[in-house]
Amino acid sequence: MTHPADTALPVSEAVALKVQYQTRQRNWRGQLSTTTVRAVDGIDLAIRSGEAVALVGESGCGKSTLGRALLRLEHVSEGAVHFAGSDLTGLGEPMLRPLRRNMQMVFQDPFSSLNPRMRIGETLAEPLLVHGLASKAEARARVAEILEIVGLDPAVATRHPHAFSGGQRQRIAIARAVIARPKFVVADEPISALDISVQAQILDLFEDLKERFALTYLFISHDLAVVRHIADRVAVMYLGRIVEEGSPESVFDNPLHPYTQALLAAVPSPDPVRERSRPAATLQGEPPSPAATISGCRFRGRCAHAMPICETSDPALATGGDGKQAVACFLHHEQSF
Amino acid sequence: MSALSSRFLLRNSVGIIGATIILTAVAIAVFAPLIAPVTASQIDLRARLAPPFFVDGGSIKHLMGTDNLGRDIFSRLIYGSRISLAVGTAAALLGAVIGSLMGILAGYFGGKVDGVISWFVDVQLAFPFTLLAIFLLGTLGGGFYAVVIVLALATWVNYARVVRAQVLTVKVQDYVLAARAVGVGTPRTLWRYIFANSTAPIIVVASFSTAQAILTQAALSFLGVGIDPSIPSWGAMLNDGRDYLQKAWWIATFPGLAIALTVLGVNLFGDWLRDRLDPRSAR
Repeated sequence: MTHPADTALPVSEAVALKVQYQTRQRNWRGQLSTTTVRAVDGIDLAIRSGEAVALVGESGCGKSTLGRALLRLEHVSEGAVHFAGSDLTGLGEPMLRPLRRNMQMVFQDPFSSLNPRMRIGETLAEPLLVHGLASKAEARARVAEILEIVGLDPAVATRHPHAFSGGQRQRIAIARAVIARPKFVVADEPISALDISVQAQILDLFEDLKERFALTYLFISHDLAVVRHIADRVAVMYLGRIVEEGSPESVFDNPLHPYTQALLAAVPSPDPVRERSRPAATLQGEPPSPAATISGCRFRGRCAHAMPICETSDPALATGGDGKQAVACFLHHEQSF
Repeated sequence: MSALSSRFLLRNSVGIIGATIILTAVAIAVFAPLIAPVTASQIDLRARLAPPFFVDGGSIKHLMGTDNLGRDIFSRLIYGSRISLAVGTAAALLGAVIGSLMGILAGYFGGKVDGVISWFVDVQLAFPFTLLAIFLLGTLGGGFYAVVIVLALATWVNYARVVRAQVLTVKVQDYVLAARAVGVGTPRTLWRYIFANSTAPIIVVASFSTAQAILTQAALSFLGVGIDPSIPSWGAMLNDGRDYLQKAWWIATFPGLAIALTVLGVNLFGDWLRDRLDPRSAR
């Protein structure tokens, strides 16, 4: 999406990014065949300072891979990843390590993202100590401070992760991500493993931290209601590609891409009257495998509006509709072209 | 006894029993000259193959009887604990250090590192160990340290394989990726994340490797390489008694019991330690 008014350098940026995995298999005759899984297949995304960008899409569409690739926790097959103006694409881990204090991650499952053998205090102090940002005594004070900010008793620093519930663990994982005051945080479905009652508290914590630390973050989710609540901008991902992008209002109230429309139609309404009139599943079938080679538009197999052009060419993400959102669909390209 | 301490005893009974057996064995080894009625090598040919005191013809003079040269089994057992415990512990520890390090490197780095280390493990497992031991001890010469090194060479593969497998499951955990995301360096990741979460199988392997080392040391003494067979050790006594099993069962039985009891103690203690080191288990 192009914002002519925006001149500030994005904090994190993907440029024509592709992340692919090669799997080699032998068939029954012993012949070697290579399958390429295109988890991220040509994405341009710029996240500007202070922005909360939400990335939504089905399971397996490459959301998590994109999030990790922005932090260079994945290899880059093609394209580039920039962070605060520097190019991370070709950097090896030793070169990335000092940069990591400025970009952090919150994982989906708080039961596996904390080292069971380390005390909470050690886990939280680690970003400070590893990057030489504080002495041990200072780190202890910072740990107590951050525990209080995320709503936990500072006394828990001496305990191990097994003593905590999922919601408490996620607070600890979030505290680890923000303790070194990073410029950018990727939150990979940080609430989907939690109880419904706890989800809202964690979302409030994100809101609070965003204000307190002027955080910039990418919030990966498959829950559209959540995204609407916290995001400044929404990107909808389908099979390794962003198919629609814009403000939450424009994307949710006026979805342009048939896939976004189908996603929104699938959200149950809390109002029973509206829920009854909600159309039944509008999306048929499964998304194709990211290992399959698709010509033309990758959504056309499930799209109700597929046209002849969709079979031959691949729609690019371009401004459509009222000009406030970008969409990768020929239905809308005609209007704006 | 207060309620707290009796609960402590109950909860840690396995560890306490294991530790008691180990400490007793160590105390016997350390204070051998004070406990043993006679020295281990004192020969009394007139009292050859005397049975233990509780069997007809036995006497209080030789509590556990005598062997084919009339040496006192009880005294030899007490002195023999020195070599057996020292060799068993030292070999198991050295094997643990080498094997765990190799297993961690192979599992974590994979690729060529794994290829080379796993190749060594496979070769070691395919090669008859006794042949290797005879070759090494024949060229290096015998003695305590040579035997410990050779036994460590025998046991390190056990650790390496188990640790490698454990590391393969640990390294894909989210917390290891989280360590990378935080910016933790490789040595610290290996130590605090990978090794710290792979200790459970190491302790289990260590407890049976100790037993294996005690027995293998015996076999080596029997073959005439390694530690001088005239120095008493439980394994050597076991081998001495083999030829007399029909006539004088006590020669092999008592050292056999001593080995079994020590191994049991080590295993009980290892089990308890493994649970104790896991922060997830209740305190």
